Amino acid sequence: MLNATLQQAVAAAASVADPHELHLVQCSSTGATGAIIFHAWVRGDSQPRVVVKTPRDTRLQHALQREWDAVTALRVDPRLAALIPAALATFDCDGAKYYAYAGVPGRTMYSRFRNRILASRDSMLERFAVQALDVSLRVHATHTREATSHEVARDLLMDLAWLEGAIPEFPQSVAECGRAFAHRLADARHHLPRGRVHGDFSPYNVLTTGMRVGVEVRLIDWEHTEAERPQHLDVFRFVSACVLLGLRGQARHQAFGQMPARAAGLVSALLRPWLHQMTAGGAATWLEPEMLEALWWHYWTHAARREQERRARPDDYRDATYLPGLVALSQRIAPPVRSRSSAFAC
Amino acid sequence: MERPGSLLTEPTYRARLREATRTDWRFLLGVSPDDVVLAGGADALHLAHSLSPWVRKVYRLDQQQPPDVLDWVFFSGALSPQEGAAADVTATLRRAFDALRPGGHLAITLENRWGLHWLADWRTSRRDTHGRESTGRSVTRHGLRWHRERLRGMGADQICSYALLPSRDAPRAIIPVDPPCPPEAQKMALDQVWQRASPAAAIVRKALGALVTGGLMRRLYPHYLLVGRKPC
Repeated sequence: MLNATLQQAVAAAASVADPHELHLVQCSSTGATGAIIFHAWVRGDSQPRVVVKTPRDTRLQHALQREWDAVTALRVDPRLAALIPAALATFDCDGAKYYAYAGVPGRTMYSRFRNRILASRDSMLERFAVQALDVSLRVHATHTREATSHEVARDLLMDLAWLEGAIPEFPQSVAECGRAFAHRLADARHHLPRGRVHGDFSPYNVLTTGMRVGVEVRLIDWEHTEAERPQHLDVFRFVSACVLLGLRGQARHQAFGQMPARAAGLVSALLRPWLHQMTAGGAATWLEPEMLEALWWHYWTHAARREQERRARPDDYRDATYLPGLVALSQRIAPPVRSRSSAFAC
Repeated sequence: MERPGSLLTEPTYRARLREATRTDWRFLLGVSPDDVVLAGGADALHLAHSLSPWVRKVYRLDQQQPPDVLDWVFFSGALSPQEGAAADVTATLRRAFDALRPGGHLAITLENRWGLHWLADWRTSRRDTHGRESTGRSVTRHGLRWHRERLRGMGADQICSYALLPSRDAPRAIIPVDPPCPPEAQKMALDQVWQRASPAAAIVRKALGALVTGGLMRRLYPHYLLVGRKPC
């Protein structure tokens, strides 16, 4: 180990007396603008003692700082503390800022999925959905309120307006579809929960110690968390990521086009019980095909914005799915008819 | 509007990723903004370009540098034009080592001829960021042990080595090989770096895990980073 300063700082964060006991393994983000991640191991342990992050590009330090601030604030709540790796220390070394978190047991759901040999894709996803239901309810219950359907529609329009402002020559077909679906959401006249969201609730960020309900679960990567957002966005993020899990290139784009149909099993296992638990009434209304379609558009518009925001350069995102997918879908389907009775103003 | 066809293609993205991650080992090695470095080897041009934002000054092997100022010497790719001649490689290493200040470090990235490249696309690409064929040789004729002995013979101390995955150009995982790290840590790194989701890939990952447990994997990694220090 050559960087003695780094090793000593990590050992201090890990409360390890002898820095030479630590073995630093670097597993960096796969994105060109991602984070450098060190896992500090002590021989004999089954999990890393500490996980340390630093930005590969110093211009992107704000993302890691945002995660640090969110984790330290959220862990004050004992209901969330059990789900979030502890924030241990920050330190500067060789001109870079480092963020140290406690290592946690378990593997990500995606790691379990990609290492399956005999289990079928569908059976694994259904088990993930059951585990995700439990953990999403725990997170969302910490801060939630009933939001009117107009608020939900406004949330969709807010993301749509951002996309229209950020992307030159934004396709008219997507804008028309978005507005029409916003009207449909507003017409629902039932409430949906709004409050704390993880923001990137997906099989890549859920660590579990097994496949059963009741095993230890941790959520990582909290940099996108928000205190006031429609909470079904988290659920749709999970379902959508599951549908696309392990798919690349053309197969991925094809799966996006068929997402509502491919997600039927996950909707039954995750979205349906989540709506029943989180809403006082109206779950059946939201699960009707027309409303479900509107909720999908809400999520896709949100995801397209997220995808676009993550680009350090306009073309700096390898596997853009949502915006091209929305363009393709909006050109294939006629914009939904707006209800004349709607009093909702765009 | 950015049409789907105009989005960054996978090969172009990979090339950009390689450029962005080429010097990811700088964190682990402790390269600081005050350091003066020398870039050598067949890929010296790319290496110098990638290092320049993170250090004070980068010299090339063919440039004259003041004595006793070099904090680091990096070699990437074949060390000398006549790679086959052991004496030529040794002379290149010796010249670079002598140019280091006392306490400075020499680092070499190597492709392992006996590495398990065939399991995945882990061979260092010969293409540059514009998709052109690179002119430099990437595979060195001599292995990790040979280079380690050369460093030891020159008087280097604190010699250590790391495995670089998936390639020495874009090392997303850097695993301590000598001194070794715990098997569980190696398995986690292998699992993180090769994420293809298929039953065949899962079986291969299990086989790699068995090689780690048996202590064999440390000789089979496709790429290594070897580092030695010039004594103070």
